[in-house]
Amino acid sequence: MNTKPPMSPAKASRRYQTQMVVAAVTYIALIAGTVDTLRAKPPMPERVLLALLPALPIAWMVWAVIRYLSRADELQRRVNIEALAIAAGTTAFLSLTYGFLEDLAGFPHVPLWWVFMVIDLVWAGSACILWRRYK
Amino acid sequence: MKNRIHVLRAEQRWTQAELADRLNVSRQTINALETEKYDPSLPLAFAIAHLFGRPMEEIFQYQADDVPSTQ
Repeated sequence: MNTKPPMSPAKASRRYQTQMVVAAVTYIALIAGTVDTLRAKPPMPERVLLALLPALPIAWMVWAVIRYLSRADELQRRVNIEALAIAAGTTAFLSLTYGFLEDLAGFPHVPLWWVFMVIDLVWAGSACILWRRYK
Repeated sequence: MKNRIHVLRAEQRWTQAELADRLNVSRQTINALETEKYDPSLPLAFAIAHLFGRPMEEIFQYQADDVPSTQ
């Protein structure tokens, strides 16, 4: 409290939500815009650059999360950090377990980008459940 | 821990959002404090006491069965 954050938690929440929506829309647009070109297997440097393009809005999302957490108040930070810890642990457990099943039991291959989906879904779900404690 | 934040806020005729703005926290946090679901950090408790111009023990009442660092 002695170093007052430059932005109120309410304003920081609103900005964070806007940034997440804009980033998600940009991500979907980039995926939709590059998928046909990538399926046609363009030459090598272009293929890598096109495949990396949708990662840009994701990097922006990660930055928005870090900034939101630094501007959030103590309860928002507590809930989100606890939810992130649950998400990290769950995702680590699931990816390790499925890795074993894939390698040793012949289960079908699951692409690595699923890790992002799982960590985000568990984070959001845990945060919703944790908030109920304080309502 | 018990507190009188709700009563003190009502005396000032502030909404939860107004109190949240004055303390630089979210409205959800004010609600969690007033319903005694969340105990504030020491700096936030001091900020609340300072804002209402009361000593801390007039606002917060420690209960014998309060366990530190839970909830």
